Amino acid sequence: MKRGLALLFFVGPFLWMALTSVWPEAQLTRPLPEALTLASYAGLGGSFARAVVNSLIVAALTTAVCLAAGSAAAFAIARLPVPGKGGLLAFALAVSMFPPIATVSPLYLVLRAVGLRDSLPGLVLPYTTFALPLALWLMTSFFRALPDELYRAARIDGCTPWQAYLHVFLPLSAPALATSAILVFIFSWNELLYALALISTPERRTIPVAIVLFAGEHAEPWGQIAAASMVATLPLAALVLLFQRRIVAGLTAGAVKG
Amino acid sequence: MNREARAGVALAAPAFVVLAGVAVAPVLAAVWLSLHRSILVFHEHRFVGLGNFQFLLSDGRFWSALGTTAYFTAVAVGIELLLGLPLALLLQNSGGLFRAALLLPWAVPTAISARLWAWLFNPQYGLLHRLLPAVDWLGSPRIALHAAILVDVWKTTPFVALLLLAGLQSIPDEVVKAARIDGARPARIFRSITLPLLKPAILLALLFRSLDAFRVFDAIYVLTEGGPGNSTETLSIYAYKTMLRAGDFGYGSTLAVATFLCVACIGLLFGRALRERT
Amino acid sequence: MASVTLEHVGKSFRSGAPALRDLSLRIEDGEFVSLVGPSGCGKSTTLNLIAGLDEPTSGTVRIGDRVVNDLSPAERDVAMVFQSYALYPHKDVRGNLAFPLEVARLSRAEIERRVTETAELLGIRELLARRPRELSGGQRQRVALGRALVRRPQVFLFDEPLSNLDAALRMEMRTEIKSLHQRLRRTFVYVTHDQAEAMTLSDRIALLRAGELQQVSAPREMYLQPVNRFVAAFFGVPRINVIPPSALGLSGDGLVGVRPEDLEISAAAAQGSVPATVDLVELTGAETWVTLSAGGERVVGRAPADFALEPGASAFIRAGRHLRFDDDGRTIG
Repeated sequence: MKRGLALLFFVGPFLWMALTSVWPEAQLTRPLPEALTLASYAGLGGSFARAVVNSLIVAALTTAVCLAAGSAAAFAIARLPVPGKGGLLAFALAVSMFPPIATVSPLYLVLRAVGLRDSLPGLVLPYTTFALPLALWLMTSFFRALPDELYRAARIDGCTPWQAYLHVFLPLSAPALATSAILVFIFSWNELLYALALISTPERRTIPVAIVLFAGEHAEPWGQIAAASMVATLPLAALVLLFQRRIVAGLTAGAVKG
Repeated sequence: MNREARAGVALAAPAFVVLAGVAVAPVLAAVWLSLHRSILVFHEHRFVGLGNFQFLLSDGRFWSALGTTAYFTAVAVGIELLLGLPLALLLQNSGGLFRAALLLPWAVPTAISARLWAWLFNPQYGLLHRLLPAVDWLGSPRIALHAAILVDVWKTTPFVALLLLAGLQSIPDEVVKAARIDGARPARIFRSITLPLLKPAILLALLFRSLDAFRVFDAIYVLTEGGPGNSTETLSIYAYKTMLRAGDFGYGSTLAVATFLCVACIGLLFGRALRERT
Repeated sequence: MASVTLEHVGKSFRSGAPALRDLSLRIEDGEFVSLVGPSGCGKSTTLNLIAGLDEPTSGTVRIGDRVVNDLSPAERDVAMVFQSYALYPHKDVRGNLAFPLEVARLSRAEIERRVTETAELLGIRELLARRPRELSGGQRQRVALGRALVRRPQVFLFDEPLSNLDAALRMEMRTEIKSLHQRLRRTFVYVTHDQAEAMTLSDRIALLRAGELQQVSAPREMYLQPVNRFVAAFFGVPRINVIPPSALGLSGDGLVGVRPEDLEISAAAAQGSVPATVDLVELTGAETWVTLSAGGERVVGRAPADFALEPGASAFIRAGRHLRFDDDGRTIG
């Protein structure tokens, strides 16, 4: 009963969206559609497909950059005598809480100056502000949970600190890398403010921007918006279903340890 | 510095150089910009000292945006915590599928969920409009902000519940068992054992959510763009419009810096409360 | 030729008292030396300094004739067995054994040959394809030994390798390590907090306390001629009795130390004996531990399994062989 209520509130709107996406445009005024159609999906066209590809590119690039830099730094902080390491973690946490609005204007000007403003790689840089601290924290708590002797064993077996990272700790951290990748991917996939501010060419829009700027000739094309939303939601629904455990663990990793 | 420390610095450097470059430097630059009159299209850029801040203090729209943001944050986060706790208790005894279903609103881009709700609120065909025809969800200045709060609650209550659930799960079974042996009833156990032990998790959820809600942009931008009549305009929206619509990077940065300072204050306040707890 | 020499080695960490103070110790080529002491005494720190996992704050570490202070572990030709085994969980047994050789860039054929040979030596050939988590504690221990052996290093370092095993397995692995040493004739440095382990395994034992070396001796000498009260009390179960001489009818000042087996307990008075009361009788199997009070002091003696007196009974005790300590705890005779 309680569960049913919760599902109705949290999942119900999606069902309405799904229904809207197959609701014939001409029948939107009716209480319920008389027939279902895929016309809204067919009408989405190439520009939205382009947005999906753009989002994929930006999210994948951001994930790659943040995992590479984040796991290396996490290993250093967890296992090596880096001066001031406690402060570095707190610094990363603080950065992740910066309001994006506070950094957007200088980033806009700098990216414009170096010719990256209206480009997909140009989005990756601002995205690291929230994605990199996340990867860093998740990876650090993973590396810290490994026994200290593992690092010493690798050193005794002849590894330099770099080799210990590349041959032992990096392969070992596959599960934590996966968790970080999923979360970073979702956050980058969903980001709106930077994308809205920095991207102006319609062909370079990401999904959230495309959805926000979706406009029809006369009224708002609700059927198409719903269809586009479905397309953008389905990969996330799949991720959530498949990796529910990992996502929850990742989101709450910091919460338990405080 | 020995070999280990050298390797450590080299491995940690890229991440922190990037963070300093994309976050710290821009904030400092924003502070610098806020001391200028800087309008891109007019190629105007001159130092005005604290002039922008002086204007800020007398800018009614700023104070109104600050009030809106604070109200949005307080009400949304309050409701999310109140709903999140029972939801966490519900999640405790639920399977993976239920958990995954609740994660969906969190996982979907805010832009999409806002569009989705805008459709539900739609004054012609919207589902909510059909159910409650008397309510003009987005068109009335007094209701629009609450509609935005509803969307935020819908989207982030599951996240709050998950944070609290993690807190619940970190309470050792034996403590609860001991309380039962001592004769405490479930309600008493919840009040005297569970809730106090949950406090750090609650504070943490409060911290994360407050910081997040205070910089709210996506949902409101999509739902109302700050309208009707600036009634839902938050600091981020006002700053965004000033910078990227009006092209006034100077005063826009002043608003952004003010937002940053507010967020920093919230962070420090909660951060201190958290440290005292643990 | 791989002796290990520590010369005036000191080690301080940023926080707290120095972990090691002016430690000088020479471990001969092929020797088996145990480092023992209570936790926090610096034994593991010493091992880390030899391994190159840590750098001394002062002094010199030599392996053979080479000063190794500035060499990384890889350049020192040492191997180490850890308490938690520290096997690589993502590699199978073969991968674990091969790893140090791969890092050293040996040829694939040579790696295969050595891995097989080592696995055979330790009887873990059928485990080569398994992951560490699929192994029992004893098997993991063997793999950890194998990973050390496969490199054929000059010096083997052991950091409490047996303390995670149950009692029976510990005895078995103890024998195994001993026979390994006899076969390989390499230098073994072995850290343990278990004095019995150190006694049975070592050619010599080095006892540390709060970062300072107390005594380095062969096990028998360590037991019979401890340099001070601390050393005397560290070895032997039950512990040595340290009491004023008058309690046992002996003359002189300071304190005397009497090992439980040197305390003669009888029902009838004998020459030089003092009266005592039996407080507690504990049968351990082959023998009986008897706790008595005499002259206001509590002493423990070791008696045969058929010890007949009950708690509360009167008895007579006499100190046989005993040590004398001065006021600073130093042994004076």
